[in-house]
Amino acid sequence: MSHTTPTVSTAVSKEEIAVFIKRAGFTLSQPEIDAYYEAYGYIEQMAALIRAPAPNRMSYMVEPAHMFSFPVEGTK
Amino acid sequence: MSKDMLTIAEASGLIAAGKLSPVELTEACLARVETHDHAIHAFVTVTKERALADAKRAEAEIKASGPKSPLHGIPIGLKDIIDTKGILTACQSFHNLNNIPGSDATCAEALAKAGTVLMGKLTTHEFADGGPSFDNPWPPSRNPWNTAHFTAGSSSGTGAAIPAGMILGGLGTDTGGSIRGPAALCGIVGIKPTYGLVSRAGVAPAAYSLDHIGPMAWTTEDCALMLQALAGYDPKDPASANRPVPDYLASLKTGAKGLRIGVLRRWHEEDRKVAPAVQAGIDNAIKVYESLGAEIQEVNVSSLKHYAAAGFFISTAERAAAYEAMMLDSPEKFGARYRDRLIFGSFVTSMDYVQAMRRRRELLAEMSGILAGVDVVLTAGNPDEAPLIDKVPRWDNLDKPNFTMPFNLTGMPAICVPSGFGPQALPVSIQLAAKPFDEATLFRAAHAFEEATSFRDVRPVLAAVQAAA
Repeated sequence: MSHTTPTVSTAVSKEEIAVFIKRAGFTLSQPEIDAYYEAYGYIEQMAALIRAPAPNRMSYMVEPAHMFSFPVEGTK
Repeated sequence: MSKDMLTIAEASGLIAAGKLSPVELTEACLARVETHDHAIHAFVTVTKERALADAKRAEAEIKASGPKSPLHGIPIGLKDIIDTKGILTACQSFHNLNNIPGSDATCAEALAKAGTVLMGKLTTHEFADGGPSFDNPWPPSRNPWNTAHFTAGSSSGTGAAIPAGMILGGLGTDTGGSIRGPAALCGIVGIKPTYGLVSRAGVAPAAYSLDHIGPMAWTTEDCALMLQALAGYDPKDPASANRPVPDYLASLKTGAKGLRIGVLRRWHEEDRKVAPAVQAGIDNAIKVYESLGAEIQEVNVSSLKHYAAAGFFISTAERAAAYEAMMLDSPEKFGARYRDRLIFGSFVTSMDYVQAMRRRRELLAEMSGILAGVDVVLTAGNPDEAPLIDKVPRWDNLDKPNFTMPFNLTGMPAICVPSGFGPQALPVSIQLAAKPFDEATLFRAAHAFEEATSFRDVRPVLAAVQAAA
């Protein structure tokens, strides 16, 4: 498969990426680890976005959304 | 019009009037599969004997006591991650090549009870994610408008089979856009209903808290007819909503007059600028709605990137957990693209997952606030026409946000409706979304647009498909 997407820079090293993969239980070759290293920068950028500052960050209003609480018809 | 190019509503009316035989309709669709599916690859399993038996039974039942539903005698297909009793459900994976379920998924059972004719199982990306892949048990579906192009996924077979006239309607599943993406690129209508409206019992999970089942068809009315049969409480799905199902047809044809439509302009004009044909489709839709008496408002929410980021971490973590044992046991059985998605699970920490779920709560509140002031929101379905099937980037789920994930994240219903064609003569689409459980308004808005435009009058020319194959 061709891979043309440009690398996004990351502060994490290839060795650290290898540790993440090993910790998850996977055994990958070095070229495979290198490919995931190229993708990791995108993931790091997105990790910053889900931590964007917002008001009331410590409130229960931002508890994890494990389920939706849509109103039940016929109830108040 | 030939039998296999009818809409569900048209065929249903003819069947009820005794002017169309379900057996003849099914035979016409089977002939179309036989002639064209070698180039389109919409099916992984064609259940010809089952289809003819279903059709003969439907014909006899209708003759005896009339149709039991508008779907009685209508040929449909099911995405191949949906369990079907006694029929291979392989999920496009070497892991599942011997999986013959002992019972139907709830959604398959609901369509069977409505009297549909099961034509077979439809191509999917492996376990509903990661394609197009050329290293799975079956080849990926190709776009019937031009077989060199992608269908999007993961409900790719359903997206391809409907415009090709092989089925009149079908089921897809949608975790980040897998119904709406193929609908947009294949020029059909696809709705992701509200989370919990359609049972997921008996369907292979992709990412638990984002997974939805929904209908795909040539028209909005057809999707409404199918959803009517699918919606309802099911104790076998812990997320199933226990609430009455409204009549989706009651307000379908009441027009757009008075509808309040919010345009999410920043998403398609700034966050991910769409192709000119997609933009033209949106601009035209705004003009059409204005001419129909709708009230257009500009609305604004967070960047599309924020929705995409939360969706990425949640879907990646949930998928990796669901398939962890299979991945550790025999990773070589997965195709490369799906294996990528599972490997990404290594990079998601527990904090990432919880933070993404908290961000999701904020984004849900934000979108709920917007929808408190309008009836539907309008944005793009897909940023462009279908790409070439062999030019889809490996990291396509990382580098650019899509327009569909926000409504998986918020659980709100969303529908893609064709809005024109691009310079390559491939379809483009708008997307509409509404408040939770307000599918009726969504159908009303989408149907009004369809009726005011002519995009439902054009089908792909499959002779060209054959020539290109």
